[in-house]
Amino acid sequence: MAPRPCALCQKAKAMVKRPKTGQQICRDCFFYVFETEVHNTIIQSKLFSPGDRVAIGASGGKDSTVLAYVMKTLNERYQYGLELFLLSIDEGITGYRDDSLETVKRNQQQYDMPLKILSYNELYGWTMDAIVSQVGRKNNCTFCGVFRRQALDRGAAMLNVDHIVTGHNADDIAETVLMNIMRGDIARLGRCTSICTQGEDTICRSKPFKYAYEKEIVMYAYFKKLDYFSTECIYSPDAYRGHARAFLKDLEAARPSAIIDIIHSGEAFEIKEEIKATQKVQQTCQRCGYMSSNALCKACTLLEGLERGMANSGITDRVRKKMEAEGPAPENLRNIPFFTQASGSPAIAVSVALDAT
Amino acid sequence: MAASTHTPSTSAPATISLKIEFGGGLELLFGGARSHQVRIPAFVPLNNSTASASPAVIASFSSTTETPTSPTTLAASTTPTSPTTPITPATLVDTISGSRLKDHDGDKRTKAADVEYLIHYMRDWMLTERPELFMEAGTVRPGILVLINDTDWELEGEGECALKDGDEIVFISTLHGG
Repeated sequence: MAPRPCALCQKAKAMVKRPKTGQQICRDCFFYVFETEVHNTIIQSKLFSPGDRVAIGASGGKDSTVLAYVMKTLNERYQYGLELFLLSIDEGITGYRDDSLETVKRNQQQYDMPLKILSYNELYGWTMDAIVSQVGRKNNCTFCGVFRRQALDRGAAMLNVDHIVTGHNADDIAETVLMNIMRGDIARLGRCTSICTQGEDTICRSKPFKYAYEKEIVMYAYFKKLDYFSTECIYSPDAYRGHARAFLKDLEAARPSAIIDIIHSGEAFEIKEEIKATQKVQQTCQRCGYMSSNALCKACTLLEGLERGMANSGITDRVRKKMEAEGPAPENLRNIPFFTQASGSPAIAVSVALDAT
Repeated sequence: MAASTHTPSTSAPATISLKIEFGGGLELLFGGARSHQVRIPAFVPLNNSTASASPAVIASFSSTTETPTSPTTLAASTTPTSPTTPITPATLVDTISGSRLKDHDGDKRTKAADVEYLIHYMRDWMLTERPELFMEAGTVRPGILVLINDTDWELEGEGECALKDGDEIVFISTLHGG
């Protein structure tokens, strides 16, 4: 096939076909449009204010590695005035996370950003390896997901940041839309497409790659020769998401716009007020102070189950009731340290002053 | 290039040499080596049967910068000795029951070696585990990106892209967590 010129600059040889638009563009134009689209997403959603301290949730994988690189690039190019940090959660998975954290440590050097690593062991007293040895491989993703979410917020509070950005890409969000529809999870369907989620008193979390296709993120990493880690978690993968993902990839192969179309469908759903009214009100966990929709947050429930050797208690109501029937939690139970919100304002004032000079 | 049918003359260049690179964890399906040098026939069966191809992985390296310490021993250790290793029975089913018989039954139509053939060749002669994670419905599984000389294969005709001596083909899985 004869080489075609780039649809944008008309000069260089086209090297990438954009899945979103079908446009055939050269390497330099690809870098430019990819970065500019992320910039537009950030600006249109008003994600940041000058002086914000922003933690990049970094796993060492492709998405967060590209996110760190692009955030650094855009922060310098458009003078966002952000103070960027890398925040990694060490789940304690030997042969998986320990290797990927080495990648994050290299990223710390390459991108010259401070890095904070917070481990499950430090926060909960349990590594994923220990959890799996107690609960087996079937439900361990539930523990990991709940623990990671809270660990990221707590790590962010330790860094005293205003904002966490994560590498969730368009494919991830489309998958989540599909999963929430299939589960009839109206509450999550309503919020899973929002670019920024913020609980009552927690740190803002956002997804600058919301509209970035996975294909483009991987191409970007390849062309820029970014250093990332790619190995599947050694514990059982999230099987349900795996099916949604395979289905989505088949749809994409037939019609590349499918991913952005599904996100748009998710955004277009409007949740009726009377349905919203039936949803649980947010409160704070009476044991650890983290936001929760019950008296005890999910992490405390799971941790209590682990500590009492009834690890499935947080997963099914039936086992939860059985645990309650056995009496209240023992006094000497291991607890998650009480959650205190970062008091960001003084730090912001300082960095604004620095940026102004 | 479309499947042009022609009979190879005995004087035509018999083989082409290709560089294959893996990324995004796909190397785990190919014995962990990220970089491979292979030699395939310049003209191949139209039906992509690889049964008559002799395995010719010249060398495999775990990193792209690594130089082979001893190409001959590497070749010996990485070349499948026969298509009877544990993973191959499943993958060879269609080759043995269908394509190869057809081959012998006189379907001698050939085409210039293309990416589609290379994918079949990789499955039959290079893959070490879980072929279903590499190939689906005669092509790579959705979610695997292919670059030919650093260009998105979607711009090069995908499977129909004809290969020439010295081409570099990169396969990257996008399926691993980020």
